[in-house]
Amino acid sequence: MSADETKPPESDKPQSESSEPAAAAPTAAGEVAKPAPEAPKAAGEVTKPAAEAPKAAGEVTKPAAEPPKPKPKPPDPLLAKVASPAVDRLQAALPDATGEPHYFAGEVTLPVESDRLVEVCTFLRDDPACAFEMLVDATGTDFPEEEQRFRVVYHLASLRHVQRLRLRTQVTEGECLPTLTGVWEGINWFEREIFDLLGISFEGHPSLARILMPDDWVGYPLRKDYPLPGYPEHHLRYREADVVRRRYVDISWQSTGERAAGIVNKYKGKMGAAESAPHMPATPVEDDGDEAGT
Amino acid sequence: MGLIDGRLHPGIITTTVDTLFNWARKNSLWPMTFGLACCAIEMMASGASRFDFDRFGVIFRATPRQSDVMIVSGTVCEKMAPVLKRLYDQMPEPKWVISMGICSTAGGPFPTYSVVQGVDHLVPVDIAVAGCPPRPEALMHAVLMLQDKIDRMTVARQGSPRKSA
Repeated sequence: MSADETKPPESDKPQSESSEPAAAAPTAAGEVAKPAPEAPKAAGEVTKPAAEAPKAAGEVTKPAAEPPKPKPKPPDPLLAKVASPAVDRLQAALPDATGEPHYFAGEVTLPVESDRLVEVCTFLRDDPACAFEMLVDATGTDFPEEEQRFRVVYHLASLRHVQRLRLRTQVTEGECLPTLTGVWEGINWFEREIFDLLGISFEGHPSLARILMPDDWVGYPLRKDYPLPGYPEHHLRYREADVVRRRYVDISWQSTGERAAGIVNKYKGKMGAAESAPHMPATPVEDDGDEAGT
Repeated sequence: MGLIDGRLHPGIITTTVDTLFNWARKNSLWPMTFGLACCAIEMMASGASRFDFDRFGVIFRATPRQSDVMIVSGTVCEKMAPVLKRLYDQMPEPKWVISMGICSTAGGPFPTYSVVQGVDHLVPVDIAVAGCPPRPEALMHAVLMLQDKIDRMTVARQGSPRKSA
């Protein structure tokens, strides 16, 4: 910031008065009462990015309008590579199954193709040098602008070797991921949660049902295009309740697939909820606007 | 009183049926423990020795079938809503509802898809307690207000919530 502010007067001066002695320019640029040889140093001390500017102004032959070259950025220590024997083992054993690992803050993230997921995970669990016997967490993220919309992340830990690894795979909307319940049984509910909130199906899962939301819920709340208050129908059924007259609507959570499809089709394209429920029937259901009934 | 004055045994007093019923009801309000979130901590503190709800006859029961009042203390999720409704339906008449805290009263800081925006969409609320969470004194005040409300009730015109219009 200060480099941008101090630079224009320096660059203007040699252009307008090109015959002026070079020693005068740094004095004017520094705007200090000190002698001329010290002026560039003082300016350099105050604003470090501006250190190159007085030097450029001091050279007679060089036009001062040339922008200072940006310094090469030092490598970010957060992104420094860390040793991971498990990744080395895996890349040696299955060389084409994984992508280039990412490093951040001493953590390793390994991209895996979804069709090699079970193979990679079985190796990571069974190999004695890896021994990731514990699945800490599995979760997903929605990136609507990307070609493959969802990223699913598996956090592994090895208690034996005290090491951690993060696997990342990508999946497009409507595609299935292979279930890892055969590798780590504890992933069962994590996958159900991912299915519940993001709508990613897992092939071979023993009981892929909603786990957090009610069974008859429509849509997947953690998708970026899901409206935060939900679809209005979900709250309408309570607004229908006439509490003053002590009249109540039936709010049993029996799954009503047709009603759910009607809601989704009603808001298709309107609330950014297109194709938010691929497992629902696509045929539009007549919606009379009174979902809750009386 | 003038007609029957001096005609009865000295151990007998006369009163109205309403007064008798209301006296019995308001002094033995047994709430159902319905702790859903942090408000439940305050509700537990209310029941414990420092604030001591027992002196109002308020004894927490763990079943709806022995309860008179349901204290909905905490955030009511959409998935919890049918459960809450069912538990309310299981309570015997007469029954009352105290909505404790802003979450159960109006959704609180969660205007989201998963939170019921006020438990009065599900059950009739008699007393709504403000606060996030309310202090035990506030809940105590709510119970006293409910006692006043019960005191104004009459047996004759007690409608049944079960009878839908």
